[in-house]
Amino acid sequence: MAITAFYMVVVIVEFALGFFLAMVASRELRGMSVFKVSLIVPIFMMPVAASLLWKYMFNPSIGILNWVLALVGFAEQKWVSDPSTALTSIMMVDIWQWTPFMFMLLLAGVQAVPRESTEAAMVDGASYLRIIRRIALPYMKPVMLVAVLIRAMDAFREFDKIKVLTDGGPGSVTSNLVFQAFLQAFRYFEMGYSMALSWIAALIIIAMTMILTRQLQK
Amino acid sequence: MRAKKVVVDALSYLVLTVAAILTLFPVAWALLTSFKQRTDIFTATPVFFFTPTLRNYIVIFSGEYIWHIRLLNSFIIAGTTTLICVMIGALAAYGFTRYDWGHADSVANWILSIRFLPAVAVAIPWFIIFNYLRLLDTYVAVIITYITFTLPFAVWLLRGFFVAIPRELDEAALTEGYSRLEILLKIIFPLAKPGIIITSIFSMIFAWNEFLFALLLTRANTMTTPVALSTFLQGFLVEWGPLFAATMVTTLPFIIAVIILQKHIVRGLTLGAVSKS
Repeated sequence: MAITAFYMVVVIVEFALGFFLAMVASRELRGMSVFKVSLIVPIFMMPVAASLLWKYMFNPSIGILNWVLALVGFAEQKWVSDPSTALTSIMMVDIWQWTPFMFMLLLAGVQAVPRESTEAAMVDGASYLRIIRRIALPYMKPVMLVAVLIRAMDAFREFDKIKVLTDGGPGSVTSNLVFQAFLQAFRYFEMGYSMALSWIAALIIIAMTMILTRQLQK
Repeated sequence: MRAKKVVVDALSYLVLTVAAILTLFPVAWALLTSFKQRTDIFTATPVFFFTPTLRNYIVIFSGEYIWHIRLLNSFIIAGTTTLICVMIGALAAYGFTRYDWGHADSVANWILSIRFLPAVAVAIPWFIIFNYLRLLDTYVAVIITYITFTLPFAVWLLRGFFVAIPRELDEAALTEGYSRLEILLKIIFPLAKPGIIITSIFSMIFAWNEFLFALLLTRANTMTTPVALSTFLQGFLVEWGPLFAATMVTTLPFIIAVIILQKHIVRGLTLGAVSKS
């Protein structure tokens, strides 16, 4: 359960990074569309494939990440095979894949803010931060909520990455509620125990969906 | 003021360039690896310059990897899922928006919540049922389970599009002697075309990428690409070359298609929360 909660931290990181990038990308500069497209590529990568890319880069002997670390003078890591770094490594992959999702949604949100109101505020001499806080944020609130809720639900049921990157190990340090349910059913054949875990997971998700739909109806 | 703008512009480009490099590098690195010989892959120091080879791409379409069959499996499953899901979804969405009945909205919300259920919660019952029915390793089993996930979302999305079409059109058509089915096919479908496109894209993405059900329900005959990719990890030495060749063949065409269609996708991803763009 604690591990499941820990996975949810990625949502906060992804939101912060995505929001920052969306703000920067919403400025009107030349060549911006190239950046916008390159920043969303990972969303459409099959999660299994994304995990495989990173598994290759994490590889302690032939992976490029350790080579980069050595280049800048850090000690080599064992990434997904070390109990102390395995969970953070999976989270890194998740952040790589889904920050673009936050970015894409929040960017759409920023661009839906009416131009007239920001311009009027600028004429009145409001500072940049003040414009964001008083004008952009209220407009963006629904999109922000939807983005965070969808990501939270997906982070809660993280499975593909765990299966490919660590198979729940080393030991069980990366095994979340959903993965535990899978192991209990299909490795230890404890169907009853597994169904109990699944139901707990399902109830939490249903509660989250109810919050989401309530937001959508506003 | 002018100098300040130049600095901010430069910083913006810097931030975005760094972000773009971090985002694209893993994909580019895998693409590079897919053109490498084994000797260039298994090195402690990464090799950036090498003689490219197509060997990996030839290997995956022959002998043990049979990637064309894996792709075909994925394609049959994702295609059928999408087709059935859009058909039934449109009928349901029509019912939701054209007939008044109690609690229609709450029912619609409950339907949406199924889309977000953890797959494991329903995987076990499905597995047991299909085991009894001797349907493991058949297309039917996988397609049925996928539809249970994509259909709720399809109903929800299409409902949003159908609501926007005025009911007066239906009533006018009814007096002209059209049947309800004719109205759906001849009037609603053309008007809700963007909605049909979005729904199809989402069903397709889900069915193409899904891993857990495919892992449990498919075996040698119907194995889809995500499961097949994960089998590369079995065994003592991972064959990274063929693995990434297979990854690229499977994901790149899809990524390119999706980027072309990205305008439609934002609306679907936000479940309609961002309606205009």
